[in-house]
Amino acid sequence: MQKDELLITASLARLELREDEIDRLDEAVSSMIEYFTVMDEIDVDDLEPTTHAFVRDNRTRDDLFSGDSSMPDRLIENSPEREDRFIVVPNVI
Amino acid sequence: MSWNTICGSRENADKYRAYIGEWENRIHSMLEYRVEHCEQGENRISGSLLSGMPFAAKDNIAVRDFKLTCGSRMLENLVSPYDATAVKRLKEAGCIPVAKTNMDEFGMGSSTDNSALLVTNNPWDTDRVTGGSSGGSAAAVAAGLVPFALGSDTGGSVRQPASFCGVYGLKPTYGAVSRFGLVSYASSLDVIGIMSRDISIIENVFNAVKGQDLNDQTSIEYRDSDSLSLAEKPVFSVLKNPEGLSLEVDEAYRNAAALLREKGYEVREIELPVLDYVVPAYYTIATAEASANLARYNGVRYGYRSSKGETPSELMKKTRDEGFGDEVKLRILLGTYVLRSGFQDRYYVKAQKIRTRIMNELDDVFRTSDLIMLPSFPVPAFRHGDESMSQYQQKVADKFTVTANLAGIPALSFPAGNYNSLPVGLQFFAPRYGEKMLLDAARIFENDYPVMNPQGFKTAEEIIG
Repeated sequence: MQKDELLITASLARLELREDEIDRLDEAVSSMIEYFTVMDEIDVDDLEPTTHAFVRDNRTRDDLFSGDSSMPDRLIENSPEREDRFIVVPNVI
Repeated sequence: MSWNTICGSRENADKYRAYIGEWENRIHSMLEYRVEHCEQGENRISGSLLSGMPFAAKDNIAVRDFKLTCGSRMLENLVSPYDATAVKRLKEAGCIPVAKTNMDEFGMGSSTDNSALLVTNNPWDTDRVTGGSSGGSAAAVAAGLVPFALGSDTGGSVRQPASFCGVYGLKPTYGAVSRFGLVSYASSLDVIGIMSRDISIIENVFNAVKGQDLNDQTSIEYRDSDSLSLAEKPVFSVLKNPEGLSLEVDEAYRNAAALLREKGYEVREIELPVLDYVVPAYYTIATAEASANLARYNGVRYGYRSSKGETPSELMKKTRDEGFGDEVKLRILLGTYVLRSGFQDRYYVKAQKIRTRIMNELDDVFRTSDLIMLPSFPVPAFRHGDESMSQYQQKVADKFTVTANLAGIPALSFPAGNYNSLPVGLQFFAPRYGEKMLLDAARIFENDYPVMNPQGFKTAEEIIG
């Protein structure tokens, strides 16, 4: 893979790679992509793609409160930085 | 059985804690253990065969008030606010969670050496890996630290470490066990599995955790009437020419097939041409799904946050660079690449068509055979840092395990003897809903291939004796 292709992919994946990582990962990604070309050999054109091992219809459930009123606070407590019940992030503007 | 009574007294708990501590100094299978939960022993359920049993869960399975690190720096300090459905059901059956086990980061690896937090050693030889990614669970079970442990199997992560450590490892039918509370890696392949030294414990645990769950859209109902039974004289299929096996695994595979014939079972030799394509198809699909699932780790709502980000976007990029290890980054990059516009048909759609082919080939085999017997992995446990088993080589070696995940069928790795003092495991594949068939087939070998004890192993009776 070309290095700029790797950097475009990294940017799409929101990964900021350091210089030393770029060379290492470029080699690893390229050898896997090359390995994936083995799939070119097999003719499966007439088959439908399988997205899921078990195909079922969508199921819905009633939109009910789960019954644990402490859950929202317990989840918010896991945030890295907060003020009262708000999660703090750097300035957007 | 002493595993039902080991919990509940200070005296037993102290002995139990000491036994775990002794082993953990050598193998480091657990990221966290809390025997005090066991000491309280308040969780007795009459009539449950699992009542009072302690157990361990891989650290990507949520247990309330335990950490949920996934073996990653990204989640090193995350404490789970809830129980996974499988854990909740085990607690209802009287089981007591006592430990969270080490794993390859986010389930990505075949050695557990990709954990960012701890190096786990094989109880049979501490210079060797436990396999992965549920390596901590396999090692803890093999050393007798818990009667069973939960793992997760996306491409073999329960069966391969079970084979490296000499225990049983069940990968259930896709959807048979709710994924609610299992941290997602590749959602169309992930399933919670069970490891134990005892077939009946696996059976009881599976029956306790299986079935539909409103919190997991992909979970299946799994009524008793859905469960397939093993025919009186089941027909087995084996590979005619298994390629790339080490001498030990090749010998174990041939011996097991010969033993089945000796016992009067019909053993057919088959070819599975699609096996040459399952690994690239698996890594295409798994990494594509992983790249989407791991997008949630961005330093905003929970988990690690970089101190360097000046803008939200910079914060996310730096958090992800600092929080993820190399193997995780590799798989996110691969998955992002195969999903990029212009490449989708060549990789992702092609892989999904190969997936259809796999299901068709297996369906054909199951028309004339009840079960397929395969190696679990081409080699026994390798050494830490073994250069002949690079990350790339480990992936290529996944071909016998990933096939079951792509097809959504159940599979069971069972101990098939020790070779050069290391356990070798083989596995059965069954059609969907065939868990009972797998366990009964393993019972055919139970006396020929008893579960072996690594040096220093004690039974529950001996621990509290």
